[in-house]
Amino acid sequence: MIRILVVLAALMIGVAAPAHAQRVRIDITQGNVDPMPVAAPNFLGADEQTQSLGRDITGVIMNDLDRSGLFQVIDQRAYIEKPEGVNVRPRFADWRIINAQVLIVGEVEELPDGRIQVSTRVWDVYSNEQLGAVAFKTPADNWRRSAHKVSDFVYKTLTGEDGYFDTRLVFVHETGPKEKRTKRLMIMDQDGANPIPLTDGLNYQVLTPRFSPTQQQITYMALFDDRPGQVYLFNIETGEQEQLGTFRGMTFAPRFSPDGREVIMSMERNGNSDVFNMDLSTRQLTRLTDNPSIDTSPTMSPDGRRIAFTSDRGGTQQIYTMNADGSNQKRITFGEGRYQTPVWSPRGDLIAFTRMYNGRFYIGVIRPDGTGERLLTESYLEEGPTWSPNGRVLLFYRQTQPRRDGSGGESQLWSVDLTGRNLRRVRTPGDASDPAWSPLLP
Amino acid sequence: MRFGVIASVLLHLAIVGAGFLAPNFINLPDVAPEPYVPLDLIREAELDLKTSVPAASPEPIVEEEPEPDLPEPAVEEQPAPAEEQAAEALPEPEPEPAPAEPEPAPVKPEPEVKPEPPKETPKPPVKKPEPKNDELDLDALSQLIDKERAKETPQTPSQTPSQTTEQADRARAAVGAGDRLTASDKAKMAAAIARCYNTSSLIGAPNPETLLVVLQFELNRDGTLMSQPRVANSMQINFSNNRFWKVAEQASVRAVVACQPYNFLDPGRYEDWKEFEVGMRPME
Repeated sequence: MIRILVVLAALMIGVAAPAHAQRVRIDITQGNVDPMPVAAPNFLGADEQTQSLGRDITGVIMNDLDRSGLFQVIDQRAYIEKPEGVNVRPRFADWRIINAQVLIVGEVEELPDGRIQVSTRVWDVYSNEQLGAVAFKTPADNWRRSAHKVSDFVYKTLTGEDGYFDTRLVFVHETGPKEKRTKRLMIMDQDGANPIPLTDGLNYQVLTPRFSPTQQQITYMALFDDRPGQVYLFNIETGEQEQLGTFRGMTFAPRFSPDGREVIMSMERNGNSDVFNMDLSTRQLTRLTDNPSIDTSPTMSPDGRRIAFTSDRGGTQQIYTMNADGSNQKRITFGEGRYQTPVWSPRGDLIAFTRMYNGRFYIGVIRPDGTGERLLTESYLEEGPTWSPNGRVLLFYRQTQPRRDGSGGESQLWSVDLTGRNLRRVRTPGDASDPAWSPLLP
Repeated sequence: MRFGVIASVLLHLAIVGAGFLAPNFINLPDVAPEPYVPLDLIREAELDLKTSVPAASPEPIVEEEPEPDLPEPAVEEQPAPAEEQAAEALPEPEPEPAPAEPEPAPVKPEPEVKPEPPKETPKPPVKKPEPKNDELDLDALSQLIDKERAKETPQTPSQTPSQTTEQADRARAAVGAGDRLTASDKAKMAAAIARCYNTSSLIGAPNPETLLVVLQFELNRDGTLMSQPRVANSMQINFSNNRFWKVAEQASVRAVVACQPYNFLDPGRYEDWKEFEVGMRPME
C-alpha cells in the first residue's frame, strides 16, 4: 500500500513541474522626452453653428497642448480617418500610421435650454482603449473656457497632474514714454485671449499684483506721489478696491495665504522693513520678523506652515524660511550675488526666485531645505516668477536691453517649465511686467 | 478502514497536485495561433547528444564565465553591432579576437585525443595548456560526452571517431544555446523599445526614478507581439494610488506596442528570445 502511495506522489510531482523557457531580462532607464504626438480632429457638430464652434474649440485645445511643450498636435491634414462620433470606436490602425499615440475626439451639441454641451473622449491608440471621457455644459459664449477645461482634462489624463489651462494672468500693463510710464492692471486668459484692463481710470500706479488662491480677488501695491505706497485689495468681479489698512509706513510685497484668509506683506517703519501677517476678517496685524535688516517678499507654503522671505541680515539679500508664526528663521541660499522675490510652488516642493549675479539675472528654483538649486533661465534683466496652479510652469518678465538708438527696454512676459525646458514668450498687448497666475477657475 | 485511509490520502495528494498544476493554467496568455513554423528533423543520434549534454553537465562551469563562453556565435555578430557592444559588456571585445584564432586549433587535435578516452579521463581537464578558460571547458565537456557514449553504447561502434567529432562540435554549440541571449542582442532590443518610450508626459513628475514598470511579453517569430504586454507589477501600481506611476505604466505599454516588430533578432535562436521581461523607468 505504501508503494502505491509513493508511486502516486511521484506521478503528481513529476507532472507538476513545468518547463519554462527562460525570460530575457532587459532594463531601460530613460525614455525620449520629445513631445508626445497627439491627434485632435475638429470637434464634431450637427449643424453649421456647432461645427464652427467645434473648430474654434479644437483650435484652442491644440494651442494649449502645443504650448505646454509636452505634446505635439499632429497636423490635421495628415489624418486618415474622419471620426463619426464621440461614442464610436475609432479605427486605431489609421491613427497608428500617422504615429499618433493619443487621439482626442469631441463633439459640440446644442442643448434645448440654449447652452452647449462639449463632450470629449481620449483614446490610447496603441493599447486600443479609452483613457477618459468628460462633458461640460456651458453658455455658448463661454466656449473658450470649455475648451480650456477639455485641455486640462487631457493634460491630467496623460500626465497625472492637474492642468493649468483654465486660468488667467494678471499683469501690469505699461504704456507711454519711458520717462512717464502709465501702469495699469490688466487681466487675460493664460493663452493671451480676452485682455481686459482692470484699473483704468485710477490715479495711481499699481505694482506686484497677486491672486487670491480661493476667490476672484487680487492684492497689489498702489504707488502714490504724495504718500507712502499701500497694499490694496481688488475684487475682480465687482471692480471694488479697498485699502488693506492705514499704516504709518509703506506696505508692500503682499501675498495671500493658501486659504485666502490672510495677507502676508512687508511693512516699513522708521526705515526698517519687516514681515507682517494680516488677518483679512479681523484686520489684525501680527509681526513675524523683528530684525534691523530689510525683510521683505514673504511667500507662504501651500500647507500654510512655513514662510519664505528675503532678508539682507547676512550682508546680501538671501532667502530665509521660518514657521508661519515667525519662529525658527533660517537661511537657505548661500550663493553669490543676490536672491530676491521667492515664490513657494503650489506643489510645495520648490521655491522659485530671482538671482542677480555678475550683472546678469537668473530665474531659478531651490528645494525648501536649501538643496538642489537650479537656474532655469538667464538674461539681461528678468524677475518676478509666478507659478502655474499645478506647480509645473513659471511665468516671469524680462526687460530687453535698452539700446543707444532708443529702442529696446521693452518688458515682455515669458514662461518656462520647472525643468528649464520650453522657454517661450507669452504675447501681451503692449509691454507687460509683474505677472501673477490665477488658480484654476472653478 | 483501510479503504478510508487510502481514499483520504489520494484525495490529499490530488489537492496538492492541483496546487502545483493550477498556476500553470492561470498563466496561459491569450495567444493567437502561431504561424506555421517549419520543422527541423533531428537525427536520433543528435537528439541523444542534445538531451544528454545538460545531464553530463558542467552547468556550473558554463555559468562562471562572463560572455566569452560563447565564442562562435558572438564572433560572427561582432562586426555589425560595433556601437552597441561598445556601450555594454566592455570586456567582451578584447577576449573575442583572441579565441577567434586559437579556436580552430584545439578543435583539430580532438581526433587524436578522442580514440583514447579511457586514458584521458583520469586527468583533470584544467591541465590542458590552452590560453583561454572557455575552450578548456568545452573540451572537457566533449570529453565527458565521449566518455558517456563510450560507456553507454559500447556495442555500437558504428560511430567512427570523425562522426563523433562532428556531433561533439554541434553539441558544444548547443551547450550555451538554451541559456541566454547575447549582450548585443539585448542592447538592440533595449534601444528599440527606448526609441518609442516617450516620457514627455512625466517631465516634472516627482521622483520619476521610482516609477518602475515591469512588463512581460512574448514575441512571434517575426518579431511581433503575441499579445498585449502584461504589467507584472500592476497590482503594486494600482494600490499605490500614484497617478504618475499609472501614467508611466501607460507610457511603457505604449512603447513596447508601438515599436514592434522586433525583427532584428536571429530567427534561428527563437527559443532564446521568445519571452521578455522589461523593467522600465522614466529616469535613472
